[in-house]
Amino acid sequence: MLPVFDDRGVSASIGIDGALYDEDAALAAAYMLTDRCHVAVDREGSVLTVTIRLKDGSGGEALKTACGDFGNALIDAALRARISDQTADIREALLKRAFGELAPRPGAA
Amino acid sequence: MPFRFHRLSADRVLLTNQGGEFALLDTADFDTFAGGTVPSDSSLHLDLKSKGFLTHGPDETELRVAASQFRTKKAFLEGGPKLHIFVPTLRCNQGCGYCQVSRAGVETCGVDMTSETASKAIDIMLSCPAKAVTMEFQGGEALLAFDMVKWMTVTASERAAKLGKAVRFVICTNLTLLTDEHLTFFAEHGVSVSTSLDGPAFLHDRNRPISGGGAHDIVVRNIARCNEALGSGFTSALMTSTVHSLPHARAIIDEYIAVGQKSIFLRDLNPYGYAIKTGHALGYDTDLFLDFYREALAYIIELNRNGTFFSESFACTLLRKIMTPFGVGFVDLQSPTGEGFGVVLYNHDGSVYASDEARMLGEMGDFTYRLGTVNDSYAAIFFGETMLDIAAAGVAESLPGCSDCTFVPYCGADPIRHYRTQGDPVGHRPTSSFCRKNMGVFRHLFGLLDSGDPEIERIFLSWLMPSRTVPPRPTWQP
Ligand code: SF4
Repeated sequence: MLPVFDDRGVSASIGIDGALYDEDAALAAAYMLTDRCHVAVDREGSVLTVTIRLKDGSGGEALKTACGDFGNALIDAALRARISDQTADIREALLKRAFGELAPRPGAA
Repeated sequence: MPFRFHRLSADRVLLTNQGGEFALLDTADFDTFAGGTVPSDSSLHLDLKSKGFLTHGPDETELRVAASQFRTKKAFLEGGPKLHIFVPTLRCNQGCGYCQVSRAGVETCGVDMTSETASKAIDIMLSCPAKAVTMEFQGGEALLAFDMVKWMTVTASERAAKLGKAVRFVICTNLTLLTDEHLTFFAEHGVSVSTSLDGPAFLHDRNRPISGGGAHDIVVRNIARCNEALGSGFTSALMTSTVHSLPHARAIIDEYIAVGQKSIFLRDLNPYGYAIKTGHALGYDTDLFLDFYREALAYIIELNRNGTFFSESFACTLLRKIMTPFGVGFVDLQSPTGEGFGVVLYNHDGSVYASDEARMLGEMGDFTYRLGTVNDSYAAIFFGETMLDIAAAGVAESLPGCSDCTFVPYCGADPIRHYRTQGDPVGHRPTSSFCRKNMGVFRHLFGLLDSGDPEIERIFLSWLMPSRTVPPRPTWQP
């Protein structure tokens, strides 16, 4: 998952194994960078490619840091997605239990 | 069990769940937990299980407890809007640089609420299911329309009594026009006073000029008169921080203590009305406000350590959400949003808005968040298209950025602010000043709670004693 920089060093591409990380995690991680970067996410087969470019047009260390931040955010996003999948049933049961009784019952006036 | 997490630092991780419980773990413990390998005989297991982060089932009891915690946090929704803001006049005698209102001069005609409009607005307020509501008079300067304030107070009291409801009254006033007649009426009808005090004279008078000058001295003198006539706890002051305030955190707090206040609400400049028009002159970067906030909070904690009880209201609001089972009816930090769900505003001209900020947009010619008028039915106002639009962008748990955020059990959505600042009620959290400020304060408070200093927790808990703190007014400066 090492970034590949363009010849001017102002944009970086990161290839992600789609079997390891799903698209939602890549999008969530990309979203976290959108304050300072332009980010594009493309898919080809099972490979996702994330292209990162700093909004101020610079490259160098700042771009490397952005790539590193993306990598960390991707790991967290993947973990969040896993937690969300694993706890989906409980979450639904909990919501029903918390607010279900507030919903109008069929046939109620 | 479902949870969210946030890395506070390289070696500390914060976990929260929907019921608002939190746990602070070191990275190794977090990895063990996330990997599902916490030994069942460990103290970590016990801690996480008792806080509802970990289960082997879940069993009925665990589900019931978690559901009840979640419901309690959202209990502010029950009963519909509880804060009803009335604008008896737009006229004002001050010229504050950051005022969000398109204020009118003292002699301007056609900007006062009529009794016919007020009567209909009171009926709408009392149609809300809530058994107790707060009726807040804002302006302009509400004391310039004192006869109307009196009429509305008496009328609302009489009609509420017939319905078995309670109304609490608050008047937001700059206090520069206060007379004994006002004080007598407030005392007789239990009207609380909310005023503005931006700090020592050099700051207050710069931010809130009045013709003839000397606004600060008048306000300080009149806060003392209010305290004497109304008793303690009925008069609160608010400060708004402009760029001029930022270097003076300690002086501002000292001023509040000097006038007998027990708490301060450190407010940043909101992006509305005049505040945004003069933003370049009075505004500042969110990070500068956070520096100011942290400095002020450190000083307030130091004062408490040395035996002076004094709290910060924004921190109190967040800490109440973090350290107690309860939610807080603070419009900016509610999800679903407080706009229309917790607060509603009746403008002098009969327009009904989802919040003070929605009114401000209206004053600027943008009526996107006008819910209707006092001639409309309750259902048309609170279940109409505009409320549906607000609701669609008003649940933080479903917004991009917030849905994964560990702070979301304590945070809010504020779609109208995001509409104003980002052109979209959903908003873009990575560039949102609302998010940046809230996240900065959350991180700081959790950092303090994680400092291992038992005094900090004791001080924070002392701020949450109901009788000791003044909840922040959810709206703007009088
Ligand atoms: S606004 Fe920011 S701090 Fe608040 S829940 Fe959303 S992402 Fe988190």
